Amino acid sequence: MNPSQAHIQIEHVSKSFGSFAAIRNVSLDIPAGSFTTLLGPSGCGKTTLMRLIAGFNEPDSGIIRIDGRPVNGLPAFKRQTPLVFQDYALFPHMTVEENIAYGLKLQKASRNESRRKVDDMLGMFGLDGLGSRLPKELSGGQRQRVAFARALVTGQKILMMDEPLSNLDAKMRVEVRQELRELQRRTGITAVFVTHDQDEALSMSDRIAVFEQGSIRQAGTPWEIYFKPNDAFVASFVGTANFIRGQIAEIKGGDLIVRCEPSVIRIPSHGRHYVVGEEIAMVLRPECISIGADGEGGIEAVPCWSGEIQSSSFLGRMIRYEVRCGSATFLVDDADPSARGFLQGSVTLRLDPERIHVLPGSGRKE
Amino acid sequence: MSASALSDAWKQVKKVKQEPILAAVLAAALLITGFFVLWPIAKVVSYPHPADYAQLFTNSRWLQAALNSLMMTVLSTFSCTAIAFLFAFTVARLDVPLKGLFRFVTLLPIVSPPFIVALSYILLFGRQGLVTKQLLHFNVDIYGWHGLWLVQTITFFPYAYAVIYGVLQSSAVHLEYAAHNLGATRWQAFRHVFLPLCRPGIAGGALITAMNVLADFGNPMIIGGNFTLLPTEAYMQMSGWFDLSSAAVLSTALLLPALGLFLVNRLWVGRSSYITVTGRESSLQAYPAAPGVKWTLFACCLSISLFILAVYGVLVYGAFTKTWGYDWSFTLDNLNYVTAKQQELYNSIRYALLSSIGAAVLGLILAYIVHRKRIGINRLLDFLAILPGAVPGVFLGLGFALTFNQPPIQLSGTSAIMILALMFWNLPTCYSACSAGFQQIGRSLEDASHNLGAGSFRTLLGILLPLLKGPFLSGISVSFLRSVTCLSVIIFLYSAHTSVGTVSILGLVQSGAWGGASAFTVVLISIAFAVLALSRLIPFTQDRRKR
Repeated sequence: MNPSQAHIQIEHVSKSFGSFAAIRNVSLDIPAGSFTTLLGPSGCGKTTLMRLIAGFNEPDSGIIRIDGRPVNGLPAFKRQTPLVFQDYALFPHMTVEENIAYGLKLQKASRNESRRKVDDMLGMFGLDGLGSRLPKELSGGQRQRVAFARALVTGQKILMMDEPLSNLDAKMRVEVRQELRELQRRTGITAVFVTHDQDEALSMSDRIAVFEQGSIRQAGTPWEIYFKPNDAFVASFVGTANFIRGQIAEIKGGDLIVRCEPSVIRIPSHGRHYVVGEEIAMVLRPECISIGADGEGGIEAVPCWSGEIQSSSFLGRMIRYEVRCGSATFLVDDADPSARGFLQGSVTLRLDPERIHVLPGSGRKE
Repeated sequence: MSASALSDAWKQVKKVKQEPILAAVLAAALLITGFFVLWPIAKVVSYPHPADYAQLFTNSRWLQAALNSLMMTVLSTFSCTAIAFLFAFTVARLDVPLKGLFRFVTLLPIVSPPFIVALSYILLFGRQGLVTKQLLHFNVDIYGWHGLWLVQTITFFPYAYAVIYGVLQSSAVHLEYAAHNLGATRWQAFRHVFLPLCRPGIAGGALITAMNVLADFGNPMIIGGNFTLLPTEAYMQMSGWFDLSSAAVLSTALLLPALGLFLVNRLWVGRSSYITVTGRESSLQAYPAAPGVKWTLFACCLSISLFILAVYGVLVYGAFTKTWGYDWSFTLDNLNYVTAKQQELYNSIRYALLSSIGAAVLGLILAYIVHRKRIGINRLLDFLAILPGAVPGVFLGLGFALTFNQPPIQLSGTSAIMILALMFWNLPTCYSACSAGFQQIGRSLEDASHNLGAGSFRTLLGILLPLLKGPFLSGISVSFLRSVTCLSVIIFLYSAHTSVGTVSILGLVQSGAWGGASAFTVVLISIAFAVLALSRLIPFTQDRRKR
């Protein structure tokens, strides 16, 4: 298969449950061999979309294609879209081996072949010696690995995962992230991953689709999602964002002169078209603002705002300050707390104009 | 709104059309349950002339029976619920010894014939009673409402206990800690937090008790004396005067409040107690009660438990005593009554076995359709499956007698009518057990099976049925015991050839052969438990663990 070709295509799919519209006219291409994450708050429709792909529910309208073929109406048990369930859904009356072999049995694999593949999986997931245990005799992490083994054993080219890491403790979650990404790269399967955890999404994905209220607000690489969010929802859901509202006072060369609180700033237009007088919303990540004690020398042409520290929280690798500048409040991260220690009182904020991102279409909304 | 409902209905029709087997099973299930549940009910209600119903208010004897039923239901429900709460609280919340005994005592009346307590009561307090005659030397007429009240309280409090205990067990202990933390004393936390949270459970227990007390036939038959209730009066109309019309009027008068209690239980308690049960389970230990309270409650439970043990003990004693009240020497003669009634014993076991298996299979099929196939007709099917639970046994028996004594299906006097009546009487028990089982199996397990390539049928066989083994078998066990010890349903249905053990026991009691009745009861229960124990030995599926 051509790797750039979409493996799973969602075209204008909608799904309602009663009067609740779970999915509204969603379109998404999931490239073959990619790790694609459906990210969003609970109730945003991400799990519903996954269930539609797996065939547990049928869309009210729209088409879902796998390998270019429409699968609408195809029952779940013929779709070959293995899914790792959030609660793992291991069959409690079957041993680990029987759970893993269940899919093979349904494919009428020979006993030897089944035996070999199950053993491969047990080895691959470090479950050797646990084959004859029942799920209730396993730890959470072991259960999760059985769930993965069961989904992968039949060798399908798709693996779907519904928040599979949410039942693990924090440290293990980070370890499994890497293992999972490694596994996906090695096998070349197309992974669809559902999560509400932005860290998971950013660290593992080739592509992220951010959902809200049944619609995709933005689909793109983690980099795009984080630094070039399409709208305020994406900006604030993925990472922490400072929003600055302003009005374009002047357009000078390729730069915009924006009047905003507390002072005028000059930012590049990146070749986009703006008109004078337009209202715009800008996003600036906390780590893109540098903070210093009041009066510390700065470089010319970098806007300096002075403000007052309202509160601070020490997070180990950094300190997050809440700084009040006039009527606006900014969240600012000091990434190297050991150098300066806690700052107090009046401070100066320096904004890097290159890193200020103007939300597209923000002016039209207001 | 109605347009969307229509389109939903249309979608369901299409969905069913795609699965012809499901459609066939669905149609069959509807037909069978409708035929054996709805039709008999309709038959009884429509049997009397409408004018006959007016007699309910003019015939003073009947009016009295109705009032007596009402009084006993209120009294016994109240006492049952109080004792059940006492036991449930003690077992669930207090750190006291002998909890095993308390649990045993709350199980005993459920698994024994409903009239066994009445029989023991006569042995203890009757004219020849162990307590009244031998110890206290006085002669008192114990037949009537006092005795019935005591007997029904002991017989039916375990039903309330089961419900209330379940709720107390899962009630949120951490909320009480929160109350203590805010300064509430033990009593305040109990009154303001614990009790309100348990209220749906207590109400549910009370309703279940009320339904049982209202429908009770065996106890009032044996010790009611002249104090007649609706079920016993209906039976007398039928057995004494062959007045089917009057029996139908009285049974219908019984059905209405029973249905009312049933609906209240389903619609109100069913919903609110559900929320309590699904609450997060807590491993917190309850805050210890004050020692005075604790030991007072313990003493109450202990004395009630001892009394119940005495009730059962005296029955065994009576079974091996020559002439109760006069000659206390040991004898095996009473067993002669049993050997003379071998056919009845055999019938009891056979009917109970066949009807409970039938009920369990039908219950499983109905539960599967209702819970796993989202079809609009579900609500009707669900209602039909649990409806027999609302119908007093006497009413159901009368319904079968009236319905199947003429073409198209003529079953009068056959074993089939006995088995079918017991089967549908037990259907709600089995159906509820399987329904609860289905609810416990997470939906994702089925999704996982489909996801791995199994169709509906494979999933049912490979995943659902193995997981439902427990509820299925427990449904059979409970139904079996209920059937062996049932008197109300079959009292209108048995013939000379199809008589069962409980009928023989009633006959012995009515003729004053206490020893024979006791012996018969002991043997019947022993056989029932032996059959149950044997069935446990049969390996239904091999234990799959190889470790």
